[in-house]
Amino acid sequence: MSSGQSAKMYVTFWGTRGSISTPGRNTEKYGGNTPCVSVQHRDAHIIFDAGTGIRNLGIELIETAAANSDPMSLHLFLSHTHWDHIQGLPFFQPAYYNGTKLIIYGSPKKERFLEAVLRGQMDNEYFPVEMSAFAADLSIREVSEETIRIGDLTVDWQEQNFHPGGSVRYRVTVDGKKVVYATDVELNSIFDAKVENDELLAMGEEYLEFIDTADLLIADGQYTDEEYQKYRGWGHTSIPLLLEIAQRAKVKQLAIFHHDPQHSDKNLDEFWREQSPHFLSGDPQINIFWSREGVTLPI
Amino acid sequence: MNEAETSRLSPDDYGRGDSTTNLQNTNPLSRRAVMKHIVFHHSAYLEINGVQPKPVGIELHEKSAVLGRSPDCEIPLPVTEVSRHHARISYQNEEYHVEDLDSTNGTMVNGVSIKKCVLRNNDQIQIGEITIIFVEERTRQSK
Repeated sequence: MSSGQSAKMYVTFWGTRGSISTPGRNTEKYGGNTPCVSVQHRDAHIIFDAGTGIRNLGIELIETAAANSDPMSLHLFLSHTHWDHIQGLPFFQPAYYNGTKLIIYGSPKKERFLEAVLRGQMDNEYFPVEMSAFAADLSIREVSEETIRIGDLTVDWQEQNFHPGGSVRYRVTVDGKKVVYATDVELNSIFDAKVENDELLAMGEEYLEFIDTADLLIADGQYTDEEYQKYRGWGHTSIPLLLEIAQRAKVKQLAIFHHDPQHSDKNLDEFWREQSPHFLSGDPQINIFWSREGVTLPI
Repeated sequence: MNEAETSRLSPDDYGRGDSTTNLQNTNPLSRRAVMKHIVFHHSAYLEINGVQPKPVGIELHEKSAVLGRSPDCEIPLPVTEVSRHHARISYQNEEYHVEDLDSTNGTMVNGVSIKKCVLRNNDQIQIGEITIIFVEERTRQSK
């Protein structure tokens, strides 16, 4: 993907599926790979999560680097270390290239365990190649600073409590444009709680402020309302609540993310047809869509 | 059954009474024996609405095609709001893609402004007032 002369961010979906990869004819439109999203702005490359989708990103990065003969400098931000968010890392080709600079960031709650977790999934009991085979200049860090500067981009983050083990949401800002990546969180526990308390109200305000007027919000919307009743406490948000929150925060585009493995292309098309027209004609207008593998958005 | 035995079979065998009337006697067909008589057929076309009074169908081949206002485009769209070289359709890894070529008014797929997008059957590409439906068919047919 060319960066072009413009200073746009290019956001690409490489994996949009939650929980487990779902190859097959009935998922080929929205995709079966687990979470991975890249943001490119000029020479800066940010990656969110290393689900199975990161494999195809790696192939494209290698092809682009070979064409440009440029060394790669990549910044990978992990929302958390559940399987579906890290399982593609051993198949990420740039990590095996001498000359690649790869910085992996994760929650400060993990501390030094982040590296242990990532190394652990490449233990020879689970995978034939150990992490020591990575020839890249690799650095694994906790996000300890409040904001991180990468080229012209600013990345800031917040912890998310309502997911088993916790997760982190990230926001990328440049030239007044904002992209938020906020997956794997059960917003119903904050915004739809049976009992309100000050702590939950503060969390809600903090979330709304973080996503306020985002040009693109990529957010967990795994369940229908009906499904949510069965999976309460599993750490994912119901679609109708997410739509309501995005509208309150005057988000411009909402990419619903982390699709349930049981949702086929037909299901997701139906959700889109039901919901999108209402929000496109609403006030404020908001373009909602179900994120789809193989799509690059200009922001 | 070894490969030499299975390779004797052909689709002509399907209609023979001795191999279909009594399933006990049906010879198993190897995947290779079946597949060698089947060809993969991939066809795609664009249905362009908004340039002519009636929709225009254009068959896509496995080459890139640029859509735009300029007469040198493979798919000319002589409409004011279309950039001279507006978007490109390309074929990579057995899939069609559409890419916006930094056009003035942008390219949308199913209502979302895109820079690049893998195309799936019935996707709706919007370039200004022009609506283009991508139609794709993948079939396996007997030779």
